[in-house]
Amino acid sequence: MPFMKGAIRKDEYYVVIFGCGRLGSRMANWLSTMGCSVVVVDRSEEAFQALSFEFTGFTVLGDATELDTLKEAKVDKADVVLVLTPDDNTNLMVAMSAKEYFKVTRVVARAYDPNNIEMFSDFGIEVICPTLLAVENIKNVLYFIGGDER
Amino acid sequence: MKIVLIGGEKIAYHLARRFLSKGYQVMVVNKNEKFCEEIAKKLRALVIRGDGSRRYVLEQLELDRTDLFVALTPNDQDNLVACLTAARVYGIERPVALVNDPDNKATFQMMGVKNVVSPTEILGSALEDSLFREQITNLLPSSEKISILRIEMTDKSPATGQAVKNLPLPKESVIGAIIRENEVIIPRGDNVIEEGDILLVLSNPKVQSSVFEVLLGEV
Repeated sequence: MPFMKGAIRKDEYYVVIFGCGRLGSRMANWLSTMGCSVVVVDRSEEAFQALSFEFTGFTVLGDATELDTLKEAKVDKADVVLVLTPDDNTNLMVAMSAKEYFKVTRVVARAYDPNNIEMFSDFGIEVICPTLLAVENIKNVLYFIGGDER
Repeated sequence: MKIVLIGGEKIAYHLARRFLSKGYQVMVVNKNEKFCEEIAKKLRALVIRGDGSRRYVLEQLELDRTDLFVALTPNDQDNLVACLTAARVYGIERPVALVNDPDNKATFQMMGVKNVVSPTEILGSALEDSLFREQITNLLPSSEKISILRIEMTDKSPATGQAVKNLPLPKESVIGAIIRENEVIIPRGDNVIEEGDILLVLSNPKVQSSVFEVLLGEV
């Protein structure tokens, strides 16, 4: 699979996603259609309604801040863990547990606060910061407008 | 040195009171506005309203390396981030975190937060001790991997009068010694347990309750 850069080649990748909100559910649907084996974890049952008919994976109802939930989702077997809950601190803790406790090779987490990025990356976690992404995008848009006027 | 208490309402209040009475300088950081007002009225502590896991809040505390930094919120993730930030950004040497889920202890320690207190665990073992206080003493209360138990046998114990080999003890446990009238017997299968014997039992904490059941009966 082309998007699994640096991962060990195998037939089916096992991906665990924490948080089944707008982002988590979309990623789950997409990874499912890409042929990954996907498990989505959320503490609210209703959140799973966002999963489409394309989704072929499993759901785990539980609080990601409890280690038992991570065990139930078989994080130790995961090739990739995506941590996408709306709370930075939860994401930090879950990502760190996945990385340090369960020794997952690739852990990707969302951090809203750019101040948190350094702490994530120091522990080998890959960070997606929506704030910085938006800043970059808006800068580009503004640059384009400015370019038009000149 | 000052004491910095992050989050936690009743516990923070009582800890603040305790340390103030011992003459320490105490700082209380809390998200709850009402709680902050109350504390400010009642105690001589410095009160700061805000989320103690955020850097811009910790910034205001003028932390010093030697400060005692304690995170007491009901959310493990907030305690972890507060302690990590205190240690990494402000150089606090030994931040203390409360963990609500005792399973998270290992994660905290792996991340470098070595001082972890789990109220659930403390209460749990206190409760277990009080349940069997009369007949059982855990000789190694701090270990999670092994229990060394001292168990007194009475005439009511189902194991009394039985040979060790006939006791349905779980595999992960063993009777290491029997103390009988100041004599120590290292038991083999044929030894029969008598009333008044004191057993020293080694066991995996996970099977501890079935050990009690076999030796002392339904509790």
